[in-house]
Amino acid sequence: MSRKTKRKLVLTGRMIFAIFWSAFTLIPIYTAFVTSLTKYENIGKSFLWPTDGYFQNYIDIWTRIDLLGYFKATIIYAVGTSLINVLLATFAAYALSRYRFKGKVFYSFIIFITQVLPQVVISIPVFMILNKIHLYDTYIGVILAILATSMAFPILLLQSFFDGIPVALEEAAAIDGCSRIGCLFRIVLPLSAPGIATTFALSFFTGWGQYLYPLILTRSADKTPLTVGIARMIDNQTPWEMVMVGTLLAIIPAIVIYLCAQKYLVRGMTAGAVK
Amino acid sequence: MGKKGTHKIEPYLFILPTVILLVFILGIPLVNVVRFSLGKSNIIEGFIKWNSFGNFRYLASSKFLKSLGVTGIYVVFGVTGTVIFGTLAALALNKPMPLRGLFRSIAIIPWIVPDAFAASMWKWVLNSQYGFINQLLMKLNLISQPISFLGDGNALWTVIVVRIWKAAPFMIISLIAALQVIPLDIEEAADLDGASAIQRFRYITLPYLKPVLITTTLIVTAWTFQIFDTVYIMTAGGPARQTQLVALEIYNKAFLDYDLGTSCAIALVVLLIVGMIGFFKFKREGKVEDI
Repeated sequence: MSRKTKRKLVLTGRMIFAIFWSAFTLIPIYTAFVTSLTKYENIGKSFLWPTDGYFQNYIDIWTRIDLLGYFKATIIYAVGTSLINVLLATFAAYALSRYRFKGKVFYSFIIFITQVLPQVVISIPVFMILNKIHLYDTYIGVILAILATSMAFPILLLQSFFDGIPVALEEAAAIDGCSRIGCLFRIVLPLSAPGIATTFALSFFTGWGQYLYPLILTRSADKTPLTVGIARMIDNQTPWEMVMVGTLLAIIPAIVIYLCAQKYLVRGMTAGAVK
Repeated sequence: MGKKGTHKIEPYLFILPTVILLVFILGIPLVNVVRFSLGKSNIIEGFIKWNSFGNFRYLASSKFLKSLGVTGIYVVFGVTGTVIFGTLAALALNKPMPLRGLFRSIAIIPWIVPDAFAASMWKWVLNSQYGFINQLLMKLNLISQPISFLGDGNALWTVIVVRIWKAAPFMIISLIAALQVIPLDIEEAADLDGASAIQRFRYITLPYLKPVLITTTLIVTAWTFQIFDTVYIMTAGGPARQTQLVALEIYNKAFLDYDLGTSCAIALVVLLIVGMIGFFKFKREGKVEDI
């Protein structure tokens, strides 16, 4: 075989795999799309194309379940998580990037290990603590729990951004009388704007997708996020067209944000998780 | 900067907020997990009384060992599948090809879909009556009877496939980033010398990928070990505990059986395993090697 035919073969192989993998990836989302436009009584009849074109499902869902309320709670968890995460991570990452101090290795290890701590292990004792301090069934209680297992990523991500900013800039500013905290806010942060935005977005997704914490740590309807509210519809007589409408409405904002900011998010993810 | 005596307190001020949070939301809970595991406990009253390690007896029961076995299969096959398919996808999508950008964007989508929604969609796709896969296979006359994907004997493999769907993007992103650093001229030289594609992968690509492959595999393993959402929503551990992962076991013991002590005893085992994986990864990465 000549080199040229070999190359063609390799390219064809890659193409076939890419198509297979894309199909595997999109099947659930495409199915959700088709079902979301299907009348309840026609479910199971038309599965390949949305032949019904029944947009009424997208209107009915808002009265079938408290979707608006679920959205509200989800947004509160997502925004709360990302705001606090960015703030805490900025300080922690700055300390890790610019200082040597006793206990740094231990501190980094603890931060690092929170990445792999199982939510289910944390959630039970956290449930009891929140109960004791009357934060059970509150937004902040859930957000605190989310932070506990999601703080590592923003810190590692911002640390890698801060590491890339020359210390000389701050030294020059310090000579001009700028305080450390002033340096952080006036020099380091503006230069790490893409990093901050990435951290915010990734934490936002983390908060958006939480299921177990809200399930265990809340009870009232207005604290129920989309994940829990939609999964609750799944039982013996699941209205699948409604579940799929809800699911799509819940994931499409995230997918759109991701597609728009793909480059930054993917780069940020590599910086935060893999050295 | 930051080495003089007056600066000594500064770094601690910067890490103080995270430290406080860590103490309250991780430190105290973890201490409590140990405490509760040592006696009769429930979620309302907490620790009630010492029961001479009675909770740990459950760890030797056939019920728990089966759950551990199920988790083992889930982790081994879930991680292996993620690594193999993630690597294949990364290799396929690395070099220029038509529609590469589109394929890459699609491949990463599952990463953005929360576990709970991955579960709701897949549960419907695999529905034994009207699910997309069954309908398609029937229409193509590949099967005559619908397959009960979440039924007896199949459920564990099904949730493993869903796990691969969800975890592969992390692998793909990490590996594509790693593939970028392989110098093109090395590969071209090997190509000119007549090395086959497989040889090039074995002797050039793989050595470059190895460090990233090891760290990503470690973290995917730690994550797979603690999966709760997808399996809880798709099967709730069934049928007949065939998908009863240890994470579900911890939840059920605490909230269904009101046996917090045993729940925490199991949690300790999971913490030990996950902690060791985390420690290896931490050591490998040498995040703070300059100290």
